[in-house]
This record gives sequence, C-alpha cells and structure tokens, in this order.
Amino acid sequence: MEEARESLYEEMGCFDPNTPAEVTVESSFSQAEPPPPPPQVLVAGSTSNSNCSVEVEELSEFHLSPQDCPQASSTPLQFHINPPPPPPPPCDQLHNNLIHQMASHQQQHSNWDNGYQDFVNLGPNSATTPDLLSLLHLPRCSLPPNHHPSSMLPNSFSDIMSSSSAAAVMYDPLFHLNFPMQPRDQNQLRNGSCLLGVEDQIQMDANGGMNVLYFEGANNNNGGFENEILEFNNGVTRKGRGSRKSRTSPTERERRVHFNDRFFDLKNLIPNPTKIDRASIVGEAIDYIKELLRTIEEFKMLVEKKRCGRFRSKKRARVGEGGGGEDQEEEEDTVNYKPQSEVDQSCFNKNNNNSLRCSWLKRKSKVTEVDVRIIDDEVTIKLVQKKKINCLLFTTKVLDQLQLDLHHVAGGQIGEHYSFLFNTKICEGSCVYASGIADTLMEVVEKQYMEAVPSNGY
Amino acid sequence: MGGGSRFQEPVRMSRRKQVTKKKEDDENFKSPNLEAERRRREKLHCRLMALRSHVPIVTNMTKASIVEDAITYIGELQNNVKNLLETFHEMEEAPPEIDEEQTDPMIKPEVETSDLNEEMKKIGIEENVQLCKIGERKFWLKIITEKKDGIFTKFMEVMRFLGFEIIDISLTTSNGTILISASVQTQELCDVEQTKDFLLEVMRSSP
Repeated sequence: MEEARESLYEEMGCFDPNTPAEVTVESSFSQAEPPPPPPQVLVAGSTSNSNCSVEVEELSEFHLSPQDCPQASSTPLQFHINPPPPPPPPCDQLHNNLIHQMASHQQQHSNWDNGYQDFVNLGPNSATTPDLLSLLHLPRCSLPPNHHPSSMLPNSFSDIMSSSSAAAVMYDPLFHLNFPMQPRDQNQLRNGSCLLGVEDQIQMDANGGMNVLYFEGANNNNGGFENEILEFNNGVTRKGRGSRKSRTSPTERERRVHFNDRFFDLKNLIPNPTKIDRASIVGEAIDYIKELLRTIEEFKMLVEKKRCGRFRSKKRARVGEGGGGEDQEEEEDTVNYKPQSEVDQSCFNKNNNNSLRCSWLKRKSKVTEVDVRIIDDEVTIKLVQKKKINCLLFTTKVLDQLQLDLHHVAGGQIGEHYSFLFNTKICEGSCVYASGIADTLMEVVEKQYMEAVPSNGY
Repeated sequence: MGGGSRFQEPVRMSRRKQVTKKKEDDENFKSPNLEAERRRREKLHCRLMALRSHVPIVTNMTKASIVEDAITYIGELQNNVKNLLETFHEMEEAPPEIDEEQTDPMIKPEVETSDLNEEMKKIGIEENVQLCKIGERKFWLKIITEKKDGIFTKFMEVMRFLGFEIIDISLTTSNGTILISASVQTQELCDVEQTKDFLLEVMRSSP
C-alpha cells in the first residue's frame, strides 16, 4: 500500500503521463506571492479515515521539506475544523474516490471530459480559473461509471464539483494567486486542482531557482528594460503579483524610461520606420546607416566627377583658345596645362580608371515602396503601390522631368498592388542622384495617392 | 536552462546574494512562453551587436550607449549628406562660361535621335498599332513607334483619355524604336478599328 501510494504521489505530480513537461508550467503557477502562504495541505475529510490521515502526513512531509512553512503544520488541523457547513461524509468519500482515481490514472486521460465540462460550468468566479487550469492540463475528473466498481468516483466527483457544498479543502497550487473567489468556489477549485502539489514543490525548486536567477540577470544586464516586459506579463497573466515593482528602485525605473526614450529617438531618425518594436527599430537603423554611407559615397563621387568635368571643360576652354576645336578630352595633355592640385590629379586618375558610380536606396511607406539603384549611368527603379491611382502615368512624368531615358518598362497589376520596374538611363550632363530620384518619385506618387478620390482613379 | 543568456551570466553571479532572499518569490516565475521570450531577447541582442559593429563611435559597452552612439552617428552621417548635397548644388550653379561648354554634350542626344530615326527607316521598322479583343472589355494592344522624348507619357495620357486601365504592360526600346505591348481593360465599349486609328494618329503626331 505504501509503495502504491508513493508511486501514486509521483504520478500525482504529473497528472498527464504523456506530457511531463507541463509540470513545470503547472509549478510555475503554483507559487507566486512574495511571502508564500503555505500551500494548504490536501486534507480531504477527517482523520477518522485512516487512509486520509496517512496521506495527510505524507503530504505535509513533502510540503515542509523544501520550504519553510511554519504554518503548514497547522493547516491540517485547520482543514479539519474548516468545513463545518459541508458535511464530512462526502469529503471522506471524495478523498477515497480520489485515491482510487489516482490508482487508475492511466485511463483517466480519455475520460475527463465530462468532469471538465462540469468544472467549467462552475460559478461566475470560475471564469478565470478554468483557463489556467486548462493550461495546467488538469485531468478531467470523471471515469466511466463502469470503470471502477469500487468507486463512485466519476459521478460523485462531478457532483461534488458542481455542487456548492463541496467540503474538501485540498492542496491548491493556485492558492497564492489570490483569485477573488468565494470560499465555496475556492473549494470547488481545489477539488479540481487537487493533488497537484507534491511533485510541484520539488519541481519548483529544481527549476525555479534557475529561473529566478535568469530573470534577475536578465533584469540587471539588459539595462532593466526587460523588467518592463516581465512586469507586463505579470500583470496580464497573474493577478496579485504587483509586488514586483517595489523591487526596482526609482533609479532603475528612470534608467529604463531613459532607455526607452532612446529607442524612440532612434526611430524618429529613421526615414520611414514601419514597426515600432525594438528589434525592428534596431534593424532599420542598421539599414539606414548603410544607406547613408552609400549615399555619401555617391555624392562624393558625383562631386568629384563634377569637379573633373569642370576641370576638363576648363581645360578645353583654354586649349580652345589656343588651338582649334580639337577634342582634348582623350589626350592626357599635360604639356599645356598642369593639374594644380592633387584633387584634380586624382580626378584624372579616377576618370581614367572609369570608377563606377553605384548607389542604392529604398523608400517605403504604408502604401508605396520605391527602390532606386544606380550603376554608372543606368538607373533601375522599382515601384510598388497599392492599387488606387494610375501611378504609372505620374511616374513617367517624373521620369521625364528628371531627364531619365526609358529603356525598358515592365509591370502591371499583382493582386492589390501595382508593381513596375523601370530601366532607365541618365542623360549625359544630367546630375541626378539616387536619393533625389527616390524622394521625388515617392513624393509625387504618395501625394497623388492621398489626394485621389476613394473611387477608381481612372 | 540559461542557454540563451550567456551574456548575462557574469551579472547574474554577482547578484546571487541579493537574489536568494527573494528567491521564493520568483522561484517559479516563469513566463508562459519562456522560449519565445528568450528568443525575442536574443534577437534584440544580436541586432544591437550588429548595430554596434556598424557604428564607429563606442563610448560605453552598455546597451543603452549602443543606441545612443548610433543616434549620434546617424546624426553625423545625415549632416555629411546635407553638406555634400549643398556642395553639389553649388556646383550645379556653376559659372555660365562653363555651362556653355557643357551644353556640347547636350546637343549630342538630339543628334542621336535624328540618327536613330534614319536607322529605323533603314532597318524597315514600321509604325504599327494593333488592338485585339480578348474578352468582354479586355484588349491586347501592341504599338511600334518611333522613340521620341516623352513618348511614353503621351501613351499613358492617351490611355487615360480612352479610359483604358492597364492590367500589365511591357515596353522595350531598340534602335530608336519603341515597342509597347499591354493588356488593357476598359469600362466602356469601344470600337476596335476606330481606336486603332486614333492611337496610330496620336503616336505619330509630334508632341
């Protein structure tokens, strides 16, 4: 009997033999409040039942060892005294039934549904608990009537669950959560959540310590902003955990707030941020930095080219004065004209080396996306816009304005969007740059979109 | 257990003492989606490291300073860009003498187009408009015409005028000619022949 009971208790800890992992989840629900009120020992019924008493002791052993629960010892008595209104006999029966239930737990899994239904139909205050308890994967609590001739378990259990006179005060892992419940309902709850506790205690120790440290470390090392998230989760998933805030000092909180403001500032710097969560902001910041670097390179090259072009034309002018309309560009004629500065010299070299100008950037908005890539004098523009206006028409106008020579266009309607790709060439002498193209196009197309009448723009 | 938090370990150790008192509070303080939370933190952490690797300014090694340094750096880069842009624009408004010189290259394109026209006639590409009905109000349209400045804009204007909605379109150029093939949809009924002639006339006309 003892061995059986021990094995029972082991199995009690994880009701569903198929998912032992959930025990940890369950145990997480088990304790929350800072001064953990001692888990109330499962004492169903009275000491008159020898079975009950033995189990009570065993249970209390389990409870007391991992924790300091000075009050634990008092609770058994308390429980005995506690239920005057509900009649004791059902408790005994209940307890017995539960033991039997444990003994045959393997077949419980498939048969819990009825009991669960009843459980769900508990009073108004049970609205919160079934969710959590279903998370805990509590065994539904009814067996088929034929299953155990000796136990009236299924019916009795469900009866007790649905009855308001349930007496048994059992270990309630959720006790600490301080659900605002009537005592009666609480009893019912405990009925449903019975016998969860023992293994949980041990599990808690095994995992909880680590978790605590983990979270602590997380809190401290991440500049404290993780605290926020944890607190938020706390508030949402568990009631009555508000004490966590008092642990963070005001300076910690200030730091967190300051840190959050930084993210906000970063977001404001980025031209078109789409998401507001931190990871996305950082990701977009990285892309933006790269884009800025590319733009700077492009401008530097453009400026150099301009300077060289000017230099060359200066040179041509001078030579033109001197001689005929000779095309001096190809001649590296330094005889008549020496480069006066290193910059000019490097211009020469650069142009001789045919350094390619290349740049790429993107502009995005809620309805439009513009992608501009420039290699040397070819510009590839990609435009995607939500279908509403004749954006192609406006785009061609912009391209004409920018003196971009169309070489190839392809695109059309794709689902709810228009998508077009333009291969163009920069006219010689024109000095457009990537961001200029992108910004102009974006501006025009966006404006037209916003101004368009909701009906078809055609 | 703390596999994803290797960066946090040193701090965790030092805080152990303070932790034990409140150990019981948080013993089973597990987020219901622990793995997801961990992954989220990891993701943010990785991205912050990547950000730091792009930013040459490093004042501190804290996460807050990564973000702050990034803000400063982006500000700097934006200033750079602004300055370069100004320089560029100043160079745009170059002294007029040089502009005259620079108009030489501008003359070239015009010369080129007239050459291309000749080429087009040489190769024997002829202007052509085809309109083919493929559905109730759907058409396939094919236009071959001489490539001129703003020809595509003109085409789009005509489409709008006719009430043709473009479903998809493809445009290619070769030797001074342009080929447009598109599938279009219209709300109103239209006569194929008339439209064809109209289009041909419009595309031929000079802007």
